[in-house]
Amino acid sequence: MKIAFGEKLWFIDGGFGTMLGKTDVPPEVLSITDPDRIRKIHQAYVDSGANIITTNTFGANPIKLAETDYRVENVIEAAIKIAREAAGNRAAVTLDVGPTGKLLAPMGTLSFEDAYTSFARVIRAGKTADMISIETMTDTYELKAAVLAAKENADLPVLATVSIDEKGRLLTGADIESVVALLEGLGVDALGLNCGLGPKQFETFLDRLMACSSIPVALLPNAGLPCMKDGETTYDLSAEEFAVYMERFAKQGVHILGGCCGTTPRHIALMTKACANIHAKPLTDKNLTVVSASGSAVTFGSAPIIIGERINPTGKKKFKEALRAKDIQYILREGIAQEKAGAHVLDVNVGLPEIDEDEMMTAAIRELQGILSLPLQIDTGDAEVLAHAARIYNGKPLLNSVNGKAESMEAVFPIVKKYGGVVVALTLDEGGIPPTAEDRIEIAKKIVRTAAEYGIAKKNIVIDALTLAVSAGESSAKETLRAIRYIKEEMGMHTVLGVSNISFGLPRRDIINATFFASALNSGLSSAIMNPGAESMMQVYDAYCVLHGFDKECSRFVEKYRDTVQIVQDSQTKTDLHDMILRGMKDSAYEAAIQLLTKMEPMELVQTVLIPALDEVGKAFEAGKVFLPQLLAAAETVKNAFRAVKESMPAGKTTDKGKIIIATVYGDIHDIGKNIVKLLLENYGYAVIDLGRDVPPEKIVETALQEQVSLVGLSALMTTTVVSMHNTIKLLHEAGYKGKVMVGGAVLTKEYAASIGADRYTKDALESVAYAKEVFA
Amino acid sequence: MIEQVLMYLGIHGEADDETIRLILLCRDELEQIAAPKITMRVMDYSAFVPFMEGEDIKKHLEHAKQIIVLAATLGIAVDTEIKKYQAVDMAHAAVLDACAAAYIEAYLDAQNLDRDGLYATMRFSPGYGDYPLAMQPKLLQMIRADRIGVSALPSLMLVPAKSVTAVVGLTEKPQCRKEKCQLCNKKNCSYRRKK
Repeated sequence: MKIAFGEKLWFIDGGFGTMLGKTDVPPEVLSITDPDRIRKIHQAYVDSGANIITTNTFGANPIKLAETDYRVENVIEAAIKIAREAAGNRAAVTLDVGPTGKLLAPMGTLSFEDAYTSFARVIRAGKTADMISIETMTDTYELKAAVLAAKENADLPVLATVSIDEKGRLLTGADIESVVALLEGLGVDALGLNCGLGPKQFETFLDRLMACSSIPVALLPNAGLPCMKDGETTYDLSAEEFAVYMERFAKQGVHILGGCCGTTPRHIALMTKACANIHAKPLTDKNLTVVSASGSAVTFGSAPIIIGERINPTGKKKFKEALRAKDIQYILREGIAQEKAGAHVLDVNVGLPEIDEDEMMTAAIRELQGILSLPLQIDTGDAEVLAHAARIYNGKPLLNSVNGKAESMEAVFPIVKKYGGVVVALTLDEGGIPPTAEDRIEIAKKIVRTAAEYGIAKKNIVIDALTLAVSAGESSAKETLRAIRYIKEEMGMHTVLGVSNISFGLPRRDIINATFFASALNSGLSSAIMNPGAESMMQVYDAYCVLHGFDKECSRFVEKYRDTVQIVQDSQTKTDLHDMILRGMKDSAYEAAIQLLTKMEPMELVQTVLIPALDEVGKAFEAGKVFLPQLLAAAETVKNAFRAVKESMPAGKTTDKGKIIIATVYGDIHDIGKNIVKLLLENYGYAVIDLGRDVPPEKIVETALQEQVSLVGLSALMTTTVVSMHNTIKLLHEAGYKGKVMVGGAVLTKEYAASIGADRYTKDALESVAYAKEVFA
Repeated sequence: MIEQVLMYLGIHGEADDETIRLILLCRDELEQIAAPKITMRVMDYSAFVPFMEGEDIKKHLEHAKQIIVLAATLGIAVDTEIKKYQAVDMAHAAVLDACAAAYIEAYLDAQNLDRDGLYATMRFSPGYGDYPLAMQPKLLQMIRADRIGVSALPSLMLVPAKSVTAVVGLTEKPQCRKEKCQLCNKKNCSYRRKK
């Protein structure tokens, strides 16, 4: 049966497990071992009026079936056959695709690529169904892997539904708006909610869902909330009550209705009866320009959006060095700092001629999206890098950029279409950047027309009317501002601008930038690519939000600026670096070190100020006079001072006292202890090669030999992972590693450490430092 | 809760003002980001027998008429936040980590598991005494903990990290709950309470 959503209501069947009752084998296997039992359930749902029947394949994926003797292909083919037999020509058959059951990296250990491979195998096996239902998803990243697999391995309509909690969020934190942005971007045919909650709870989120979705919406609630009765789970809504809710949903514009846990053929029969005479409410395009991240979405058109520009090596010597050294931590720090400073989106540009941009870009994106909830703007001139990054990005990205050149549009638009991003369109083409607003607007129109040919809607393009230095032409600011106003008012589109180019070649660029930024906002600018750490620009922004009603009751402004006078006074009180370290004043340490470095040599500063202060804190810690938080605050302070020291070292000289590898062993993902050890070792001047967590023994051995280190530090949290530690030490020795191994972790003791072949058990970070001193003495 | 946090941080006696300030800040942060969830199954003693391995779990449940198997979590956002702070402020990360550990214990302590006139015993988890960690995935599967997003890695570690699985007995007489530390194998633990 052919499925076309949007025209009429569709009714999907209800709970399967509820009908099946207890089973000795995974329910999916019954399609092979007891097909009659499955067929009867399907038949009951067809008889109850469902016109879409869901195959018995929720857990039929290679990851979950690995524990059985059954092949995915056989299970799925059998399931589709049974569903077809029951459906006849009265109902369509949808291939049910549930989660893998494993949490994706970085929080879990399943890679995005492996999740995709698992889903792709399921889809290929189930291609003979009429459509695909990706359901009960609780992680946007896994959801994306599943939808990509469905789109790339079959040519069937896709319905994707997620499971939310009472706060309206997925287990991994995504809200409704970000789920809709992601799914619409990826081009599913319908989307919605299933499982988790009952219709009453779904109803509280329905307005939000309908307000942001431009495609058909599906609701498949449980039969209320679960309650325990005689040790069994039951649900608190009767079939009659259930049907009342579903009828209301249909009237409010929900197109696809069905049930999940606890619903039975009776629920579905009453539902289809209640909805029999309701016509599907016509769809409306919400015309929203939205980008999203794993946690939340950012919508253009209300308060202007700040796109942080700091993750970009252009003109930044330190960043270039960090990229060459593959120092992802540097990028993370820049990202976190910009989030704190008020950025809403982060631009990510890692283009440097001598590095592998593809590898660096994907690594940066994986790390940033692992800890930050801001959407990212993927900024690269290389279409392959853009495509790869858009693919592994957990959300709907901003893509920077396309321009009016035919070649650029040909390369970029297919990526925008496939991965569902919002693209930044620069108003330049083969003829360069036109001087007048009119000519830039013409290019914008050409880009919009061409995008439409690729199926990309206007709402997924934001126009960059470009800023040229005002010092090179006095009308340049005026032309940009005119173009912004026209694009907003006449074309109904959103704009983006790299603001600070305007002041190029002038003194006190901050003055020009802030004023130009204010003018651009007044002309209707939707988003600015800028440094959120630039105080004068942020003041303009904060004031603008107050004046234009984007800051309710001025509360954000008051919160931010109320105490600023006091802060100025605080920073005037003089404290020397030694005291700063003892007191953990990490934010002032860098400046203080710079000051001191005008009077003394870098190494002298390390030996006479940093190390003695750190030793003092360490002794107090060992004596139980200060505790872990203070020790760590002192260490962070030294780290910041060390940054100043490293920058002032003459070329070719280093502060390194020796190389140490540290790693959390294979199978273990708890790395806070390892990271504390790293911080302290670096404080004392050791060059730490941090291999991260869940590190295979082979990688540790390979690095130890290659880098010729004399000390390896291993961390493991549990008895189960101490086994990996043991293996790693054994392998190190077998491979001819001549250095020492120190180990630490919650379950270890001195004796235990000795029994697995470690040279030293270090109880805490300070003992690791002490042992490093011994080894490198 | 603060007392518990100080214990996790290894602070015996007076903590300094800055640490207390940080703990209060982290507690507020957790109120924002933690999404505590719990799922459980109540069953007859006989239904739980296949999940008993070792002597200590048997001892723990010896007077139980019914058994509750439960899993609870603070959600993945807490892990992410702790990870984020490790990149910029290790002191904050360490305190948040300790607060989260105390938070989930407090969340579980606040659950009243008594039912049908029976009293709940203390919580007993895989890894206590001789109850093998390998039971972790079996318990998770039995109660469908994936519904609240809790799973175990091959190393038997739980994700999200701030998650707990536990077995609770329901007995006719209330049981003394102070024996927890005495059952633990980690004799050199700094948190260990005296008898």
